[in-house]
Amino acid sequence: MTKHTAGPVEDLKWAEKLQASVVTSGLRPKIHGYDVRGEMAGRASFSEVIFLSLTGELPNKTVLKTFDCAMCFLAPVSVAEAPVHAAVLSGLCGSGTGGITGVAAVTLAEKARWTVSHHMKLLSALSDRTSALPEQYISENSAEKNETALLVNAAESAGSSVPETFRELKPVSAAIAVLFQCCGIAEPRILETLITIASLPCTLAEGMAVKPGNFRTYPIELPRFSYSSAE
Amino acid sequence: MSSNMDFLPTRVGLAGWNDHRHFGYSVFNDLAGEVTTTGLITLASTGKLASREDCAVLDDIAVILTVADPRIYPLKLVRLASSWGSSLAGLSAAVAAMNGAVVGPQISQDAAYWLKEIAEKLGENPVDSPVLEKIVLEQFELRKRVSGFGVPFRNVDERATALTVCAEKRGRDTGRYWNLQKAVAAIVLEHRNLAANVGLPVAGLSLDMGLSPGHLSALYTGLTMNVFIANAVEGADQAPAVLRCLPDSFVEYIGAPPRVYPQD
Repeated sequence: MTKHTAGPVEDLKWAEKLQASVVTSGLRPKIHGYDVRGEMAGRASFSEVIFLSLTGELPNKTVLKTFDCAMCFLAPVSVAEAPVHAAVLSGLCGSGTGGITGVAAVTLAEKARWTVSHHMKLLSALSDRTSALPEQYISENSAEKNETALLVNAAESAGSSVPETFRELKPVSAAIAVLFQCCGIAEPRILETLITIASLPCTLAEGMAVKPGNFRTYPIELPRFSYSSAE
Repeated sequence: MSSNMDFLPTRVGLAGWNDHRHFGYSVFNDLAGEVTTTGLITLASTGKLASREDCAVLDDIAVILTVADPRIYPLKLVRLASSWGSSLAGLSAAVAAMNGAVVGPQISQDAAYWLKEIAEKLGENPVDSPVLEKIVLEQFELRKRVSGFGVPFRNVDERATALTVCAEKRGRDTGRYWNLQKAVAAIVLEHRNLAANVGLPVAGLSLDMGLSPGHLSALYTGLTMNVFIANAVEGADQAPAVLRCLPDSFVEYIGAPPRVYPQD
């Protein structure tokens, strides 16, 4: 074998400590400066901890209630959707919690990335405030609008002032708009993360509800593939 | 139940009772005994069987990209994920982390797209014409970041140097994209003092083999799995407590100062 010489890791100077920006280590950990175990546990909700962790600040009561409305609204995700379907297959394959969680998290995060990237025009219009909401986010379906109305009504009951135009939005667009405008969450990466977190419990639960190895209960031809050897 | 749905076309595979099909080939009769692992990964990524000569070039690339030092960021991540004893947890984390990353195989894919764009703009002009210099420098003005350039912590990417030697040995140093990437690298070094990394010559070799830029990320992720596997397996075997949780004294908090949670 050829003799090895030193490389950049040996020859350059590097940091000696791992930096943390959110949580202090050791006992009585603080999240963004707040003593979570000593002061928040028992008084704060878990969604307040989520909000604090991702934004760095505590929400006021109205924002917190509205945030809860939007997160609840985004929580259910059907097995028809790819993240849950993938989690179910992972469960069927007998993956452990790590496997199901990994599959669910990756797929939900992909869906959230796609969703937020397709809402950039809405976010831009909301930032502008004077622009009309782009047509692509407006629902033409009365049942969908009724669904959106549930969120808007809940957010208003929470004390938020929700623009009337939000009632015209498709349900997921409305949830994104509420998080953006009523909760002040403007950064796309945080919106993606919140959409992922909101749907994670249902997705995991559906994946864990499947009996591992029970393959004949799975509709293997749904949807059907058509194999062709032609290029 | 699914009869009213469109069929999804696939060339990838069809399972049978006694044999299986893969991109039009019989797995047992056409591929077994004939195709190497590199050939299979290339077939999977591009849908085409690579020649033995192309597979040898891809093997060279995979070998040269073998920097398996567990201190390197994506590999440390593999060690952390496998530190409870599961090598597949480490591998899962590795693949997940490469999705959209600014390091790893994505660089070659982005560099290949960029080289294609440069080649189109260059048209029939030779690579040593001043037109190329103008195109390249304009591109650098337009973009915040150009994949295939920048060599962290050192002046030259030793992997690019080694790959050049391999390309010369295999007679792959005369292709259109190989020459283009060399010329582009020289222009950027001269005007921007920025060296090309291995992503650029990998892109050049790949395009000369007729590979599509969009296939390169999956192809090179597959071909370089050895570095992830090595770290995942050793990491899981060791399952070291020190990686599961570092001592507090090695962590520095730089976030918000202590604050009081409001009483109401």
